[in-house]
Amino acid sequence: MKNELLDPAFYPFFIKKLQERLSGSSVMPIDQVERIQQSVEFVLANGKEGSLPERFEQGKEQLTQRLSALQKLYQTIQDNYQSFGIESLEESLDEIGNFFSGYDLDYGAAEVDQAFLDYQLAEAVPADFVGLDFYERFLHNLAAKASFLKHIPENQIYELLDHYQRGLGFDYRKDVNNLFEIVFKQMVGKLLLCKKEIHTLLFNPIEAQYVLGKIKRQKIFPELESVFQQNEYYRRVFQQYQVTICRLLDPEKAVRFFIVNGNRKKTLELPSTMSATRFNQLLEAYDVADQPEKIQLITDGISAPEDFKEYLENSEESPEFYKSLFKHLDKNFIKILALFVMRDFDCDKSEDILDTKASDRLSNLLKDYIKTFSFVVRSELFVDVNEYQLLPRDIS
Amino acid sequence: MSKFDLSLFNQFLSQQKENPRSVINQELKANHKAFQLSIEDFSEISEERKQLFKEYHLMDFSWANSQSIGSFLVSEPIFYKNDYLAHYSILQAVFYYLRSYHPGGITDQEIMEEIERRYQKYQGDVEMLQGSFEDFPELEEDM
Repeated sequence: MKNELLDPAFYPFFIKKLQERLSGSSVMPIDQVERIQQSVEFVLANGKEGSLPERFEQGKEQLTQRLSALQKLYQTIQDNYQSFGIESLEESLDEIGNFFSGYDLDYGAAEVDQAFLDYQLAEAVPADFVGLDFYERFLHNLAAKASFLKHIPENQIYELLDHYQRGLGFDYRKDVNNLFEIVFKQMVGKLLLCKKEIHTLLFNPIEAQYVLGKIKRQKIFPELESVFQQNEYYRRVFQQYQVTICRLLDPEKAVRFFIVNGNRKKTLELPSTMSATRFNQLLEAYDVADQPEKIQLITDGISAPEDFKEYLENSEESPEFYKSLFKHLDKNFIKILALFVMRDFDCDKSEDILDTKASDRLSNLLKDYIKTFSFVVRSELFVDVNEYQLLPRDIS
Repeated sequence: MSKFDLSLFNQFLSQQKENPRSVINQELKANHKAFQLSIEDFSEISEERKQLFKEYHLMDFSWANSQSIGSFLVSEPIFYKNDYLAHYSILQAVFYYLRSYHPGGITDQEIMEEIERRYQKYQGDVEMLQGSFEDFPELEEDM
């Protein structure tokens, strides 16, 4: 921007602008004066020829046109974007509405604080972009991201976010402030693997190592050219990755550049326990029942491992009875009990249950029961159980 | 972006046609005061005003505020020029202090009225007045 202050006509013009701004007072804080000066210079830079007032009017007209074009883009993004529930994205987009309603071409054309933007871009808007320039760049970048994400199946993005969240330990919706970055990184990596079809955005550790090595070694990436041609923004973001990756020396840490599908287990929530009254009623009915009825009562009435454990500790039956009871239990309930015992003893694999030195009745009976299985049945049980993990115990 | 240059602004101000000194001198005469302000007297007031702008990061586009302080004091029972100038200097400092304390919403006139009200309340004891505004810069503060 040229230094308008060197123009002798600027001062009278500028002072007039300032005086127009005054109301009820002839005094103005210097920082306000400076903001207005930046605003006036910004508008003048958008004008072309003529005297200062003429250039100022041209600049305003020019900016008004750009503003309405940008507002259309904003509307399009608003109507089409998929936020995946990410709060900072939704809030930032709402905030930008304030820019359109509050943008003041006369006195605040060079300001950027109309909207509070929490959502980050993979490539930040350069610091010398002010006013409309800033919002233009921000929204164009955002549009590029939105259109990139549109081409990726939603379920793959959700899967990715799910893994991201597990690494994070809390809700991704509250944390993620750059969804595109998370997805784009994986997508680029997948393209470098030259897969025919992409069914998941997750990597296994070997793929991640391979891609990282490729990015470090190669200078040009013909596989990515088609993506880059859609928008130069993508190329610039990738170039940032190259710089980052070349700095990663420790291979263990480097793998974490991508979201890697480790040996993840499905999580299972235990059924909740019954109320104390219900439980006591069950035990009362149990006390007066005969043996087949007792088994019936327990297998039908109890669904939570906690309740089952409590029942075992409160009942006095022969070992034969318990053996028969376990035989009647549902196969899936046995698996849940196995998970429950594993959590109690902090076992990593279900096979370890057999080695626990437990003193409580549940784990002893369960251990004995599993030992009665044939090798094949036992292995099947262990494979099934190992696919799951329980939610961590609720500490509260 | 080039910074705003206060000296250029002051240059602009000096080119303005307002002449507060002669207005005040006329009023002094009309109120039968036995003194007039010399160019030197007034340039001291003007110099203090510039310092206040620097201190409070403000600028004033007109002499009207300074002038109304001068006019107000003309009607007060002050008999010596030294007292007049001392009061002038303090009231001007109080005015720009309050102006920076209340950046928007409140008009210059409202600030001026409050200064006059408290000036009368403390019967021209400008040190009391200054202390009162330091402790209670809010307008409409009833003590």
